[in-house]
Amino acid sequence: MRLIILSNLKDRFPAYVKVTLMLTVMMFILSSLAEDLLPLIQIRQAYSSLGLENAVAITADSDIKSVVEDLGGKYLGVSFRGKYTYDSFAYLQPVEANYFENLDYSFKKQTSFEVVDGYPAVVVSSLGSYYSLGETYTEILSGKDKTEVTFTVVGILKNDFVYLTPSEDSPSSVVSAQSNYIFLITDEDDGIFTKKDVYGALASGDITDFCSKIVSTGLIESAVSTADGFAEYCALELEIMGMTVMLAIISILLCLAGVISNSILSRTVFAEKYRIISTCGASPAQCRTIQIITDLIPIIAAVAIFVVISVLRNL
Amino acid sequence: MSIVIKNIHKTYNAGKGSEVKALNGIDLEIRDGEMLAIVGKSGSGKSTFLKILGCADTDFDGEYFLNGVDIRTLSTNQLARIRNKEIGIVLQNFGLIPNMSVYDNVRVPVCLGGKYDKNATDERIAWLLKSLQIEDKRDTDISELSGGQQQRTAIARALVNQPKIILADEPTGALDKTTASDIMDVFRRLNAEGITVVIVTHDEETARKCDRVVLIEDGKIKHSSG
Repeated sequence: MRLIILSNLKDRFPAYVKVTLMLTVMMFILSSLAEDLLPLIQIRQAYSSLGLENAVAITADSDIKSVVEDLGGKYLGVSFRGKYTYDSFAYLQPVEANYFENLDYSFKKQTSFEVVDGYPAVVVSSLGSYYSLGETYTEILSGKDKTEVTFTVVGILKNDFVYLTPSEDSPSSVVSAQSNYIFLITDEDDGIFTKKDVYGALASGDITDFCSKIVSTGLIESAVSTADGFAEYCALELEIMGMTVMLAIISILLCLAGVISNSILSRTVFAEKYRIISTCGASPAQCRTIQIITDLIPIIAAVAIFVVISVLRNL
Repeated sequence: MSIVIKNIHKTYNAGKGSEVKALNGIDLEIRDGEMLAIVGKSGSGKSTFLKILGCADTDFDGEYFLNGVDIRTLSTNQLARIRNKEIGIVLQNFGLIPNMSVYDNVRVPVCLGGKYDKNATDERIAWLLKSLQIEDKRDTDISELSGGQQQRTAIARALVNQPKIILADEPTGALDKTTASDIMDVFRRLNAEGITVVIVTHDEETARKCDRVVLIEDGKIKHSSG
């Protein structure tokens, strides 16, 4: 059979080379499309695994100075100088209610309280009975320098919310008092409140991994600075997914068309040859096997070329 | 190896407007070691008959016993094995595979027959090519051969698995007189070695060199001589 298969390839060598090249190119196209598509799928899966299927967006950040983004008039996200990375995070509009509904006086960019002296501050719920909203207090920091600070209480956390500073180097300060915390807002655009379970998720790395997936798409940076921008981001994401899937389908259909038409043409061209070898004692099964192997050779060759080139590129 | 044909009918496009009755009740017995010519005009049904004799077509009415075995009881694989081992067929217009050397064309039946001893096959092919006087063309592409050399290659291929019967469809049809005569000498020599030879031809000169001549007309045997 090898003799006949080699003869088939020799007879239609240019056609098989073309099919092989076409399949190789298509494999690279599909591979490239998959590289675009997979992170998007992963993001969707990550949203889903965190129960955020309906979230409009999640921002992430790691720069030294964070900026709370005001999206559509809501207190929605954190970024650092407009750059979104993944060390810190904030949930946006649709999930905001889940995390802020029990916050009596959530810290906003523009607090409604006039800060008479010192820093604006938010205290945890356990200290709510010691501090009153709008009042100014003086405390000694629990750190080794024992600095005395003056602050005005602009918020009291109702439940188990914690205050996330964007990073350890953040200008925000945390004042320890009676094993609880007063959060001094040294930069009004800095930080965000969130629930402890989310904080735990951040600490465990789940959120970080999640955010890194988002950031890896390279889309978040330009997408979430405004509500319109985010809508654009969502639309872009969907458009990319749709286009990617469409391109993948077109590529697969083109591949199939090439392989099938080559196979049909081969069968026609080789019909006389199969009549001859049938006369020489080839069974119908042998003729079929010869044709199938002949058809498979350009596919195998294309896969081999694709694998070799991919491996060489990754070296 | 005997062949017994009883009342064979073959119809193409049966039941359609384009129905053609190619064979219309053929009875024939071919004895072991016989050299037989089947003659007839173009379209008389002789090539169809040869196809049936060569076990390449079992879609007919009637009976065909090859060495006492009804070939219609055999599977496609068994029929393929008969075509490969028992019957050597020389196709009309040589039926060689293009873009292949003489050697590769001749060894096609050996390759199709499963595992084989390469050295023994090479020896057999060398002997065949020598006896057919084309040993110097062993590695030549068949497109570079003359008509006579191509026909000798086709005969070598038919003989490579040492069949008991040779069926040849118009073996001299595409050759000049001298070459045709040489080819018929080859068949005579093979027949003298004990191989049953059945030749389909429309050429009287070719038919005259056979022991018996069967005339087919309108799908029937009209006359048998010798």
